[in-house]
Amino acid sequence: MLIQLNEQWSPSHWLRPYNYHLLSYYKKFIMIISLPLFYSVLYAQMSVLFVLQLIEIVRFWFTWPFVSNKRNCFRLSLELALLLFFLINLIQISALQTIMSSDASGLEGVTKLFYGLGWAGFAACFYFNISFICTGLYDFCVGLRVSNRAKMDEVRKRYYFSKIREYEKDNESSSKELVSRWVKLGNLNDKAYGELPEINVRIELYEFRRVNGKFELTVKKLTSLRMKAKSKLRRTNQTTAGGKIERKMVLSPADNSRLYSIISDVYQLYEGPHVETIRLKTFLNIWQKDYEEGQEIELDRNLMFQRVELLSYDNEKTVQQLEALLEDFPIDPAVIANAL
Amino acid sequence: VSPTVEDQIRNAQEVGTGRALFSTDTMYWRFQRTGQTSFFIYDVYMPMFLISLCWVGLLIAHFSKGQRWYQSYAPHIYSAVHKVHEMTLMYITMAAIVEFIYFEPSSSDRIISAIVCVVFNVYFTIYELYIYYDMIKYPLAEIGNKHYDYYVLRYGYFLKNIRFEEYDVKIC
Repeated sequence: MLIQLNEQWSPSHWLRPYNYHLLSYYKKFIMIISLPLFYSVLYAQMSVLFVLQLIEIVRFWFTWPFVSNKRNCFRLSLELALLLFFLINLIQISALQTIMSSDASGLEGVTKLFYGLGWAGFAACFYFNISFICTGLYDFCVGLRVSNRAKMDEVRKRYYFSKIREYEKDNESSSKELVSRWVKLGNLNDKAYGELPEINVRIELYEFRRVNGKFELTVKKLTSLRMKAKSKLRRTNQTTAGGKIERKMVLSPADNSRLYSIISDVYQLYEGPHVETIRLKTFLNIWQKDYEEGQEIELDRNLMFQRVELLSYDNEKTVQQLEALLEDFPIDPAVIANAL
Repeated sequence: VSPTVEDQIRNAQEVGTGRALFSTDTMYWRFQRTGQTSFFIYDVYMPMFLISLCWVGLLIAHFSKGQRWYQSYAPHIYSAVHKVHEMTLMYITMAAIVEFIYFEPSSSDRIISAIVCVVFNVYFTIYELYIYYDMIKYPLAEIGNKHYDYYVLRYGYFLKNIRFEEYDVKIC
């Protein structure tokens, strides 16, 4: 049953890394079945477990399943600990036979051996179990920061990168087709595949400082946003700006009283003795997969959030994430246009 | 009160089996009261509860394939399912086996324990076989194709730390 369908079967299928975890199940399964089967035959139960574990170690050695050699060595040490545990049990059974077949007196040496080995077995067993728990916790913590997809992508990337490097080392002229195939298979040019992720796009930036009652203001604003057409080199962010405003200006009440009062209100909120420049950014949260190719993205105020960066005279930056959008934001493009 | 070590050894020598070295009176008393030994109660009930929770998660994932959260959270559900199965496999089967061994061959309790053991082993075998056969097309998975997305979502838990190799495989 343990074969790959529609392929000519060979034992190498059992030594494929991606089958490692699954075939470990069958080892456990056979081990568990052997417990009742050989229970009543002296030495047989532990001997079978010992042999099965020995075979598992051979399989591990030839599969060498993990990317990281450290992990492989660590896992091998666990498998060896389990082998040691079975060996200890075998010796203990023998010691138990001696205890059972002798008088209670004169058994001090065997009893000591029995208890000593018991502690050694306990240590091997705990090393095996506790290490699995620790590895599980470690993987869980890593998993909180790095997704399974990112890890799998990275493994392939490293594989094909080293393949190209070796190929170039061995061949003076490289085959363009072959190399570009490996680049594609390893995703070495970082194309974004799968469903488009949720992203935050900065739609507004106002950077200003007060000089003699006026504001030196830099505005960067997107007036519309849409999804890109399909591209061979798709990136994580598939949006593109429809219209932009990018200006630097000195803003006085006389130029544009509305824009001046909005900026002045923000300035009053965050001004301080050390604050020289205030940078206010507005972001839009976008679920890209909800939009079709080329579709206009609605600049919905409910999906926006803001961040304020306060820059001191000696260029120290303090960042604050605002709980709610400031009033009057995002600023109507018409208000900005009046100041230009 | 537990018998002394000397008494235990003497008793074991009399009945001629190593089983008598272990004090099983309390376990048998518990079995008479609850229908199961402490092995079963402590090692099986919680894993059974966790496996049930896994199935609830799988059902939610199955019926939420079109939902916005599916791509983000489904891999976590599948990872949790595999993790729980991996953890509980040993506990449940071992507990059932120990319970099976515990009784005398003539005892009808042993048959019940054997049935419980077989049921769990069949469940785990089906679970692992399903994954094994589902994994057959893994060599066809290339970054960007539907196979790859499928394996990342379902079996990323198994494959995330695994070494990659190329296979010249054609599956009809």
